[in-house]
Amino acid sequence: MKYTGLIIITAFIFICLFFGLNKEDQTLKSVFLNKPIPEINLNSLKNNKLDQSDFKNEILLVNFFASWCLPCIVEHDFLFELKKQKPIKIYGINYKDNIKNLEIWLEKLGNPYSKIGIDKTGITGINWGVNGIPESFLIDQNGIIKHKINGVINEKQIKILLKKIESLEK
Amino acid sequence: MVAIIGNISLIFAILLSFYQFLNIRNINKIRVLNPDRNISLQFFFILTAFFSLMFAYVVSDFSILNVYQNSHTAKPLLYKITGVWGNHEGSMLLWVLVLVFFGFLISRYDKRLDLPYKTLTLSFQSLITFIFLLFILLSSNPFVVISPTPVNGQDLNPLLQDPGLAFHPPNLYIGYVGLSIVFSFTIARFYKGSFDASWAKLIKPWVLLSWSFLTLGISLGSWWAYYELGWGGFWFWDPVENASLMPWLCATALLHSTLVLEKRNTLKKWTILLAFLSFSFSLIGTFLVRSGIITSVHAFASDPTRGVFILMICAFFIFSSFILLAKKSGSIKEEKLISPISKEGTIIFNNLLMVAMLLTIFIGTIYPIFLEMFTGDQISVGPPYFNLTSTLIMGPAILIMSFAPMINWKKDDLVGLLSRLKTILFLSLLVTFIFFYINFQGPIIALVGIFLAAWLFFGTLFNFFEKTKYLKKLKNLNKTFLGMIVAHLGVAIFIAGVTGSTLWKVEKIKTLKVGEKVLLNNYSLNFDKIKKIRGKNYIGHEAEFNLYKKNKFIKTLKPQKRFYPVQEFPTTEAAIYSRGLSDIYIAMSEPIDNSWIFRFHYSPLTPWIWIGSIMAFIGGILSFSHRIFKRI
Amino acid sequence: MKKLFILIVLTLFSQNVFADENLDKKAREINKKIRCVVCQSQSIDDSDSILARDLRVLIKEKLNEGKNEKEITDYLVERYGEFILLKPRFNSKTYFLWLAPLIILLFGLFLIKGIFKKN
Repeated sequence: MKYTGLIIITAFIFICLFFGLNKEDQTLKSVFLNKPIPEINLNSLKNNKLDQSDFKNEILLVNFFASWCLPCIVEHDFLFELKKQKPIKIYGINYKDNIKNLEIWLEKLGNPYSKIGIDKTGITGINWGVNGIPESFLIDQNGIIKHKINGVINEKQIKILLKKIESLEK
Repeated sequence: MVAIIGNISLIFAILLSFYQFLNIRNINKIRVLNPDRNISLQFFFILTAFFSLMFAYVVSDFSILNVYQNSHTAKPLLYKITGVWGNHEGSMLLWVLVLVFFGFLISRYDKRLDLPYKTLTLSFQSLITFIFLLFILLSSNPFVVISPTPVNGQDLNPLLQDPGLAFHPPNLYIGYVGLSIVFSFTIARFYKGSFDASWAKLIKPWVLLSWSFLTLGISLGSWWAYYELGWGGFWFWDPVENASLMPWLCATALLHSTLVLEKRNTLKKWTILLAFLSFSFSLIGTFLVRSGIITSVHAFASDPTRGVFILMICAFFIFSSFILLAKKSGSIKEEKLISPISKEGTIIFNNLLMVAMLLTIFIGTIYPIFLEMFTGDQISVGPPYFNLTSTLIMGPAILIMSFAPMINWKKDDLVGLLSRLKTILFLSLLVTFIFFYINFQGPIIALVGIFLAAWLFFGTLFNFFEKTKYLKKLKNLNKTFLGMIVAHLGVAIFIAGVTGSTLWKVEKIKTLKVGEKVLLNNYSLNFDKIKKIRGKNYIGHEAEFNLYKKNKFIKTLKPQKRFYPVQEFPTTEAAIYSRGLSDIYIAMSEPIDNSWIFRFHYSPLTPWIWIGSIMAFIGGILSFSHRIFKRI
Repeated sequence: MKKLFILIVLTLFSQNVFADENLDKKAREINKKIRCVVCQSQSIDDSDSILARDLRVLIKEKLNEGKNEKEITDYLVERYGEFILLKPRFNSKTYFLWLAPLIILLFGLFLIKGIFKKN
C-alpha cells in the first residue's frame, strides 16, 4: 500500500517532467498580454511625442531596439520584409541609445519605423516589462497588447505575426 | 584514426557489458563464470576510448566534431585535457569511465564477496554501463567526424577554463557513480543473500567513498563559483547546484542508516529505499543538468531529445527498483522496536531531516516547471526560499548531531545525557557571547548560527575526549571513529563559515579612478594601477590594489577582467586575500569613462567553508580506508 | 547663535548621511530578492547586466521617494510578473510549495511513530 503511493507519485512526477521537456516556448511571458498598453510618454526622433494618443484605431507593432544591439541588425531586414507583406505601422522604441549612433544606424540600414520614441533612461522599457532587446509587441485597434515576441523577429515569427494580424482585422 | 579507435572501443565495451548482463541467467548454475576478465576488458576499452578522445584534444584534431566544437589550438594544454569533459559527450564518456572503473575496483579488490553475489552485482553494474553506452552511441557520440576538417575550433566556454571547475566534474562523478555500485549491490541482494548486517558492511565503504567525493566535488564547484563568477557568493541554490546537493543529502541519510542496520539489524527496507533513491537522484541530477528543462546559469549543455533519453533511463531504474522493493518487501523481516533515546533513535531523526531537506529542495527546484504546466503562471523559487527552509530543517539536525554519537545503542538514560550536555551548552553559549561582544552588528540569526557551530564543535570534541579517556587511551581510536570526529568537526567549522560569510559580510560597490581608495572595515585599498593584459587565448585588464591595514602595507591584489575573443565571452577573476579568519575580495566589473566599477567584500570566516568541507572529505576517506583495508 | 546654527546643520547633515546609508542597505536587501530576468538564476544584486543596473537605480529612487518594499515589489510584479521575485509570494499558486516542508516533516513523524517503543 505504502509502495503503491510511492510509485504513483513518482509516475506523476515523471509524466510531468516528460511534458515539461516538450514545452516549446522557454521565454518569459508578458504580463500585459490582452491588457491595455502600459505607460508611454516619449519624445520622438523628429521632436514630436510618442504617447498613448498614438495608439488608436490601428493595428501596430512596437519594436524595442538600439543601435548597440547586434541582433537588432539581423532583425532590421525582417521588419522591412514584414512591411512588404503587410503594410502596418511599426513604432520603434530606441532603448538606452546614443542619438548620433542611432541616426547613423538608420541611415545605413534604412528606417522601417513610422515613429521612433527615445527611451534614454530605459524607464519605458521597464514599464513595458522588457528584459532584453529586441522585443516586440503587437497591439490591436483598441490599444490592447495581443502578442509579444522575445528576441529577433525572423521568418517564422513573421508568419505568426501575419496570422495574428489577420485574425485581428476580422 | 582516433575516431575509428574510439568507436571500435565503445562497440566492444557495449557488447561486453551486454554479455556480462546476460550472465544473470546462469547464476543458479553450479559453476558460475568469473566476471573479472569481462569487467577488466570493459574498463580497458572505455579507457582506450577516453584516452583517444583526450589525445584528439591534445593534438587539436578538428576532424572530430566534438573537438572542433569545444577546443581551440590557442587553449592552454591543461584545458585541452580537461576540455574532454567540459562538454556533454565527453562528460558522459567520463561518467561511463568512472562506472566501469568502479566495477573494476570491485572485481579486483573487494575480496569480501562470494562469487555468485559478486557476479550478480557486476552483471547489474554492466547493465547500467550498457544503457549509458547505448545512450552515448545513439545520441551523444563524441567520435563523430566532420569533413572537411576545420582550420580551428570554437573553443571551450571560458568559465570552464579554470582549475576549480576543471576538476569539479570528475570528483562529482566519482560520487554520483559510486552510488551506482551501491545500487547494484542492493539489487543483487534481492536474488542472492539477505539484507542483514553483512550487507550493510558491504555497501558502507562504497557509500563512504561516494559521499566523500560528492562532498569534495560540490565544494570545489562552490569554491569556483566564489572566485570566478565575480559576485562573491559561494552557493546560489541554482537548479544545477541543487541537482548535486540532492544525492549528497540522500547519501548522508544512507550513510547513517547503514550504521543502524549494521548494529541493530533493523531499518532494512528504509535503507534499501535510500540506496535506490541515492542513485536515482544522481540520475535525476544528470537529467536536470543535461536536458535543459530548467534554465540555469550553469546549464551548459542542453538538448531536449537527449533529455527524453536520460529521462527514460531514470524512469527505467527508478521504477524497476521501486517495484522490486514493493514486491519483495513482504519477505524482508525487520527486528524489534526502537527507543527514541538511543543512537538509532537519533539516526532516525537525522534521516527524517535529511530526507525532508532533500524533498524540499526537489520540490523547490521543479515547482516552477509544474506550476507553469498546470496554470501557465511563471514564478521563481530562489535563494530566499531555500535559505529559509534549509535553516529551519538543518538547524534541528545540527542540534541532534552534536550529542548523537555519544548516546548508547539500544537505550540510554536521559538524565545522564543531559548532565553531559550541560558543559557543552555552557561552552557554546560562552562562544556565542564572545562573538556577540566582538561583533554585535549582525542579525540575531547569525548568533544562532554561531551557537549551532559551537554546540556541534564542543559536542564532538567532548565525545572524542570521553572515548579516549582524555587522550590517555588513544588506542581506543579506530579510523572509523576518528573519521566521524573529523567529519563532524568539519561540519561545525563549515556552519561557522556559512554564518560569517552570509550574515556578516560587508560589501561595497564603488566606481573608482586610478589613485582613489576605498575603506573596508579596518583595511584600506588603494587603486594604484590598471594595465592591459594578454593571455594565450584572452585579452583583458588587470587592476592593482595595495592593501593596507592601519597604514601598514600587506599585499598587492590584482583582480582581472578577461575577454575571450573566440567565444566572445567576458570573465571575472576575483582577487582574494585570505587570512584564515576572513577574506578580502575584489571583483572587477565594467569600465565607465575613465573609472571602473569594483565589488569589494570583507567576508569573515569564509575560508572556513572550504576548510570544513575538506575536513568532511578527509573524515569520510579515513573511515573508508579503515573499512577497506581491514576487511578487503 | 552661530554655534546653534552649525549644530543644526551638522545634525541635519549627519542624519541625512545616516538615512542614506540605511536606504542603501534597504535597497541592497530588496535587490537580493529580485531576479535578474535576463540572466536567469541571479539576483539583480549579483548581476552586471544593463537591466539589473537600471532596476537597482529604480529601486533606490523609489525608496528615496518614500515607497516601501511592498509597493516596490508590487510595481515590479505589475510589469514583469511574479517571475521576478526570487522569494515566491504566499498565495494560492504557492501554498503547496511553502507548506511542503511542513507536510513532509509531519508525515515523516507519523511514519516514525510506529517504530518507536511506547515509553
